[in-house]
Amino acid sequence: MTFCDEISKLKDTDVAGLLGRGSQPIGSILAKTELQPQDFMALLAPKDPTSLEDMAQAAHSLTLKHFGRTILLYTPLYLANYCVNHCVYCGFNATNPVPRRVLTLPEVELEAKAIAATGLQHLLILTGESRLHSSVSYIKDCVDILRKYFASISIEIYPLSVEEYEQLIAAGVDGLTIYQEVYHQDTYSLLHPKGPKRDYRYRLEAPERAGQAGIRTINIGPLLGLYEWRSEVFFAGLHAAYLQRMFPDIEVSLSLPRMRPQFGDYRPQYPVSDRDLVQGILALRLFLPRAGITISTRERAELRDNLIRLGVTKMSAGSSTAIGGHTDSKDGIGQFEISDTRSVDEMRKAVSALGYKPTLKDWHDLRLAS
Amino acid sequence: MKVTVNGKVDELPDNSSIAELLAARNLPPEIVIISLNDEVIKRDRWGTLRLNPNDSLDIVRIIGGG
Amino acid sequence: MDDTLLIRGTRVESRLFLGTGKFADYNLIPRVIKASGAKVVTVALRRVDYATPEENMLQYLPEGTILMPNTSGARTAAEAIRIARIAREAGCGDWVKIEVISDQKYLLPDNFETIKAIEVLAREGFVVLPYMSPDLMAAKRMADAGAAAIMPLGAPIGTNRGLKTRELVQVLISEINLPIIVDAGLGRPSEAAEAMELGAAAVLVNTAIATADDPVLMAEAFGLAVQAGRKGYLAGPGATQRFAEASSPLTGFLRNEAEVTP
Repeated sequence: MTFCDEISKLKDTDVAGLLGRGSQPIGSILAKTELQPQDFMALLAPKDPTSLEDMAQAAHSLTLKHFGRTILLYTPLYLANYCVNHCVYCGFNATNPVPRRVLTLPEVELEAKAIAATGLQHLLILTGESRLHSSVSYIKDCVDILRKYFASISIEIYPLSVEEYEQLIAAGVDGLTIYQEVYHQDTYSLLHPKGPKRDYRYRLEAPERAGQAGIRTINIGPLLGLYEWRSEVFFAGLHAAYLQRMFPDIEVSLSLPRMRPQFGDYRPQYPVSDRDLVQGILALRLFLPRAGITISTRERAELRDNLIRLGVTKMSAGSSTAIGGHTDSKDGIGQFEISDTRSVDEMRKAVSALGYKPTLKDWHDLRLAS
Repeated sequence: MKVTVNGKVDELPDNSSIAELLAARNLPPEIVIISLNDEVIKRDRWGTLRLNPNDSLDIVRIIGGG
Repeated sequence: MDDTLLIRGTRVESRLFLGTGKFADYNLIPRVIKASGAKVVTVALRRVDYATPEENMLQYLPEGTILMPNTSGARTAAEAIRIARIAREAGCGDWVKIEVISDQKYLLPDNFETIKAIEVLAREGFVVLPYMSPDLMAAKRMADAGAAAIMPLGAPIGTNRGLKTRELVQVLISEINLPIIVDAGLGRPSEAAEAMELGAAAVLVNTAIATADDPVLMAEAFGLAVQAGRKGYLAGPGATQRFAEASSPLTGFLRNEAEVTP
């Protein structure tokens, strides 16, 4: 049974409605060592500031136990922004007249050098969905170059088959990031009117295929703002729990990206406040003590710094969402606006100042030459 | 003829049946279970089944155990 | 709400399983079973001894008892399989407790051989309950091989030292989707209650009852303890203070939240 089969059982349940109900006492939940989905729901329901602080103390303590005082830094590299999908909310929507570009292999190498010079060793490579301009074999060629420079390469691309994931893993990819965007299926259909991404199930089951192919880490999450945040975080949490159960040897983590201003007319229908974001992070941390939590540069600097002690384990630094953005960002239009524009050096200093160790490398693939 | 009973070699008249063996050794038939050459033999055959030389028998019973 | 234990579809009315070894006198057994309320009772198979007067142990077990012959004596999977087949042929039913022990010092079970035995016996339709050393990966393999429950030890057989393997048993309860029955090592009714409070489906007790000064009274105590522990588990734990003083507030920065829309 895939995760899609599992959550289809909840299809007729008004999860969002259940979650919106008034606050419940959470003392007994915070005292437990192992939370059930019902507890997770209770943590996501509206909270007064004191309860939220209690959750924060518990989450902080739990994160220290499982992760220590470390934050892993990484950066995204956009290889190509050609895309055949018509996702209503996305800056790279096929109908948006943004300049399209795909990096040549020499350009990829230049980007790699520039990023590696900052000391970062964990890279996330992204493309839009285009099997013409950013085919699996193109991505593989990029990975062949990139693995010379980086200890860990994750992909955030269109969903692949098991065999395709196997090919990229053999080339040196060890991580998959794929956001379901929105778990609420009806809303998903509305927001993805055209293109292969319309296939809800294929996307939802991508992490399982990557798992079967032998991926080492998986990062999932909803795009907050597209639907009721409590419900979306709930399903993302269930998804992560499912993956942990199915693939006990895979490092599972979550992101909670919030919609940012981007090219195009779409504005999020369900805006998420800072308080909501914090509550989502805390609830996830308590429900999934060993899952990583990533915060990208979508969020502004001072919020990110405050989130470090609340359960976050991984953060991007020196980011650009433009193609070739690490070498010539002036020209490109990014997928979304970055909020935290700090350089890698500045991030390292900020993380240290908060009493945490900025980690640039936590993995070494013995298959690689060096 | 020689047969092995519970791991030890025993001497029995040729063509003995299981029932005869039990009687000869004073073993109450009601409580034992017989396994002959790794096959459990049901009670109704004990009178008729003839043993052969070099057969290996396990005679077991149920006892208390944890 | 019906909280009856189900094992492979069979309703088991008591979550206390009883071992019948080490009793001074078989006559105690029916009284112990009655006092404890136990429904599942383990027995063993042994080769008869020409010299010793023989008794039929089964006559001491009341009607309605679910027999669970164990494979004690087996040192390998092959031996365990053999004993299980003999027991079933002898009319002991489909249940079998797999116990494969080649360690005579501590009597710790061999998880590896146990997995092999389950693979064969489950295919032959046995309801297999393996006695094992609590190890998550081994338990998963046992579950995949077709076990009907998992029986991790609380402490080595006969030691009466209580739930020494608590942390690991807890992991099994969380991760394995089968009844987890703590077997071996429980020395006191409170320890049986402790196992039940963790979420164990049942416990198996032998030595603590058989060697008590008053086995019948001890059996009654264990029966009550198992019920108490189970109810405690179902009732849910109360709120306990987990943190002393709150250190510096972590969400204070939200306090004057001018809603910053991203």
